[in-house]
Amino acid sequence: MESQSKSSEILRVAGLTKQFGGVVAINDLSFSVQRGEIFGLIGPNGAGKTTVFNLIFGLVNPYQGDIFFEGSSMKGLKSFQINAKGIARTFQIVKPFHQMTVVENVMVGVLNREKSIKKAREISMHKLEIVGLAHRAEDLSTSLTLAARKKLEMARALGTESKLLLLDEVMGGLTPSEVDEMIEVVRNINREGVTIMLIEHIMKAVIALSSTLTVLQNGQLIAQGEPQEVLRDKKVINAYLGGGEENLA
Amino acid sequence: MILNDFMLSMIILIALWAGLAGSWNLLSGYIGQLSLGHVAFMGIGAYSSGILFTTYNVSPLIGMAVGILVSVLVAIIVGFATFRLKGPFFSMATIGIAEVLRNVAHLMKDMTKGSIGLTIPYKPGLVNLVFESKWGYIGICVVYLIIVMAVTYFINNNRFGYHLRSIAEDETAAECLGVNALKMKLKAFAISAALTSMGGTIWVQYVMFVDPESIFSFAYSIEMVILAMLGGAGTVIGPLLGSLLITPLTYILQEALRDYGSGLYLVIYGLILILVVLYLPKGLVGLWKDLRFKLKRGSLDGKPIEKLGNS
Repeated sequence: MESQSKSSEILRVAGLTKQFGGVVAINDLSFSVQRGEIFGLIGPNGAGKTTVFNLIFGLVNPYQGDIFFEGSSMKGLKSFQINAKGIARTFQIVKPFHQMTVVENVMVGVLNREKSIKKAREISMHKLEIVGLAHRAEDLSTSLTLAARKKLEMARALGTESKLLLLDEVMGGLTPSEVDEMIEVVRNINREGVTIMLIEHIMKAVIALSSTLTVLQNGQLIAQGEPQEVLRDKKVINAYLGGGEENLA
Repeated sequence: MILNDFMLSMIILIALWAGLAGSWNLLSGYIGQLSLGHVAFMGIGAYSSGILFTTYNVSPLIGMAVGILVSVLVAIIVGFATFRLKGPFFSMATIGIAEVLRNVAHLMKDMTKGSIGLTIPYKPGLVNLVFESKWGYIGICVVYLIIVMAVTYFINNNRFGYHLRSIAEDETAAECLGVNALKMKLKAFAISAALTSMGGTIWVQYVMFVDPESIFSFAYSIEMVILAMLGGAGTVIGPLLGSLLITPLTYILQEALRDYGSGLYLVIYGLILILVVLYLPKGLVGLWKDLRFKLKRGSLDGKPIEKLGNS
């Protein structure tokens, strides 16, 4: 395992299974994410994509199987410990701190590593510049549009200086031009060396960004590989269109 | 002269209650979990110094330190057990703790004299925290208030304050950003309990009497909540603002409604609390901030706001 930690694999999910009562949300799921890539995770509604993120972040406990980050198991760790190891996430349903200004929202995460308020503010401003939100820094987060709130989620996650970033539908609900903007933002973050896991419904963004694409259905992996190939896969088309052979005409 | 004396008492009570409400604020105002049993720590402070002073003639200053230690210990144990509870369940647990301590005070008759209560001997002097003139008490209470506000100001403007406020707003989001919520909450609880306990010692030295029913009264817990919430929970100045308004009102109401039943002012308290929660959830400070924000917004015609302080 020691030699593995320096390898290109940053995250490995092995035999992950989670049941909620009688419902099997995630069923024997295994995959690995390579350092520096953008790993797309798609699937129809209810496939279990967000549950995978919640499991990685220790928000749903306990579970069967295991999750390894840089070679070490993360089973039983709490969210803040997982963040400390180098993983950050955004929430599909945005969770801004309403009473705080935009820059203060980012400072919360930055302040885990930086004691000085002044320096934390500078670092946070830089993160806001990356996502293109610096001009709203002193506004209350409640005054932001949905697109801006999603950017704020990203800036906050970036503020924790994580190596792996889990993005949960950061493009959902955005206008086409905002999506284009966001694609550029994600690409720039990735270029700075951050590995990205992306849950997304907007295919344009998925195809433009992902180096690997994984498709979930009913908590199971049904396809994985190059985005173009995966999207031509019969099982994937059936999963999305829900049909039999006639849909493939 | 009577008026003058009354006004001096008022200053003492305003400062003391502002300090107590400020101590409550450091826990509930910042982490957003409502403690309805903070009187527990007031009682620990009052009894620690009260017992040591009356029975062993130990200076209440030392008694205050003992009270702080005991309170911090109780806060950590209670916090560990109850911070997993959310919303009304946490509040109910805190009420329970105050009730348990009230009964403990009744049971430990050897030390507390039970329901007869402890009477503080009149031995004026700074070391004894007993004063001939009301000015002495004003001095102590103002110093106490300054300590509470200084601690709050320091926390508010440091990373601890940022983390506490993030937990109050969304604990899950805060934890995913690396904030250790339980540890932060325990720290806040310990500091809050210590300061409340200090206030308890000052209270008993001023009133010169303590018995389980009065010191562990639910009304005192509520008073801390109302003062802080009306002024603005989670702010530095809020509890003082609340005390300036409510403490004189309490006295006036108690006097005016005396003939109609001694607890009637509590009904009015309850009404105030409901109105504050419904229409002024961020308190007077929040109202002021919103107004200022709107005014600036209007004058700048929707352009970015220059600066919005977090004082």
